[in-house]
Amino acid sequence: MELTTFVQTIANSVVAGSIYSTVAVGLALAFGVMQMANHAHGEFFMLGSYVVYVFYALAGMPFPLAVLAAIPTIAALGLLTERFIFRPTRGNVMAGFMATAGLTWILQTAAGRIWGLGFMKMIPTPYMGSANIAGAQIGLQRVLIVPAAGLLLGFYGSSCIGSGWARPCAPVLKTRMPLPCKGSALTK
Amino acid sequence: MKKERLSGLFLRILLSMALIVVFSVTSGTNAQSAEKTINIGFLAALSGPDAGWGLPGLTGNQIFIDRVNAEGGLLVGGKRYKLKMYAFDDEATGSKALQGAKQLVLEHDVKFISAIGGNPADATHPYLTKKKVFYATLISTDIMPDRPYLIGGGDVTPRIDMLRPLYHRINNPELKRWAVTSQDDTIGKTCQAWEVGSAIAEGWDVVYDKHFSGETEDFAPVVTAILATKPDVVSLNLTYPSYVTLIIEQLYLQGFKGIISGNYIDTESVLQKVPAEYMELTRSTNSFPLFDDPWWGEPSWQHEFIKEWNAKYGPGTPGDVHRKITGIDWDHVIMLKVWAHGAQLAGTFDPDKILEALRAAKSIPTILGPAVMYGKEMWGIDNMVSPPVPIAEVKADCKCKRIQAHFKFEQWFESRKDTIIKVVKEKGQFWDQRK
Repeated sequence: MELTTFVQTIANSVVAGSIYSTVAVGLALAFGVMQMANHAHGEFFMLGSYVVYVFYALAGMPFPLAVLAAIPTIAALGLLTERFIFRPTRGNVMAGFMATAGLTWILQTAAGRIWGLGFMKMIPTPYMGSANIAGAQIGLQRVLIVPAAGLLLGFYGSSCIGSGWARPCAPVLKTRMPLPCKGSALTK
Repeated sequence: MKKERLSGLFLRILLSMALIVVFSVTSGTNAQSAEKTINIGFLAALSGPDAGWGLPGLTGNQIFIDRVNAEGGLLVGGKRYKLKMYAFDDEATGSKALQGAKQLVLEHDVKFISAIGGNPADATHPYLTKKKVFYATLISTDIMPDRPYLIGGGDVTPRIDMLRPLYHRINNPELKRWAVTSQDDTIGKTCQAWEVGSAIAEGWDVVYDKHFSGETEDFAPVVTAILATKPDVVSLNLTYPSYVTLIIEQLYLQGFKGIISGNYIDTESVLQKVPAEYMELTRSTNSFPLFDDPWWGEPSWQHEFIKEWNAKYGPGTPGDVHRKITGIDWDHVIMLKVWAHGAQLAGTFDPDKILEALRAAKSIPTILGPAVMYGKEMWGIDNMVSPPVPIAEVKADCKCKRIQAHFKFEQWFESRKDTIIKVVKEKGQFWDQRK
């Protein structure tokens, strides 16, 4: 393998890993820390993308603002899910998981109804062109995901809300969230 | 008194009989007018990555149907028949397609089905053959002797995939290295085999000949692997339209400067991701010209069609589809017109007689030019309608595609067929190997 191909492959892997890690951090926060098994996690990402699509591609908002707008929108959806699905099923991980499986279908169907099925949406690339990083050509838009994933991972790894919650914040966790039922997935 | 009663009774009987006669005639008329509508089906992906080949075709078929109905119906055997279309989204999956085929036949008694083909063709052909329903595929590789009512060829696949190596050989005789890829489904595997055979027959070194998963979401690694082979031409064969856009974006981002060639490039989508100048620089080539191309001449069926399309589906119209016309908007209607022409020649909707009439015709008029029924050496049966194949390139000034060449397939194939068929057989994709 030539050096250029090797470097490009490494760069592709870092970008792909960054995309996956942003999804994984969300899962880890919800399930690992708050003990909520959210089956609709992927649909939250889908809706985040649609919010960017609406604000950026349809409403003409600048791309960074559209991305920022997606954060509170999906956070609000998360709060609603916690209030109406996870709080009533607290202590029963499987019940929350199954309820959010229903939410998955609702969100998928709603997205299809609102934005339609059919073609992949035509979204202009906000940052056309690529950056040459050590011989690897990476699309500017794809470069952005790397620091974003780094920030999220850093936040997860070092903050109280992140993995630190399991240690210094453990009393808080215990007082706010009852342990799972006997025989549930978490106690096995 | 008795006489009056009798005449009253007689009058009542007469009136009842008259009512029965009137009712019978009216019922008969209704039944007759119901018989005068012929239903056709549209069984293709209307959602998902394959939808680019299906969904737009509804508009072209509907325009043709509206035209026919405005003339009073299709004149077959001295009678006029109105046409009506029913659509079913098969999501490019066999099981869904079979469900759709049954629904279209049992509920709507369709006589003709427009389709994309591939896995859905494999799944539906036993049922549709039994029911003697025409299934017009976009992909001629679906044609086989045990599918007598499956016809194709209006869409130039895979003949375009076979002729692009010739086109680039003529224009760039100094280039040598041909890379080709498509998704790993039935249509990708079969069409790519025919392209590889043709590229070899035209003297290209095929340096990359692989398939990617149909579930691929990130094409950066695929493109890196292709570019590692240092190709002069990157051909996307029958890659799904949505994926073509994503692969071309990666070719642009990773700095490919050679030729991009493919079965179908949707210019409007691709230009959202890469500059038009890049598309011209890479001589981005495909076989689905636009109908506003001056090449068609004035007046022309194509220009009339695009005017009608814009009036029905363009911006601000009641049927606004919120996009520009694509090459697929007219792609399905080619075979619908051929079938309608066959029915008129045969004077009946009997599928066997329509086939017989089409095969007997020396020249079949199609949107792309005069065609013949061909393909026995390729598919084991002459069920491929073979019109001339247009080749178009993307131009930066108009941000559109413009026709560069028009090829007749049959003579070229006759001179190359031994090499091509040998390669297709080596890849296990000849029709008798795919059963």
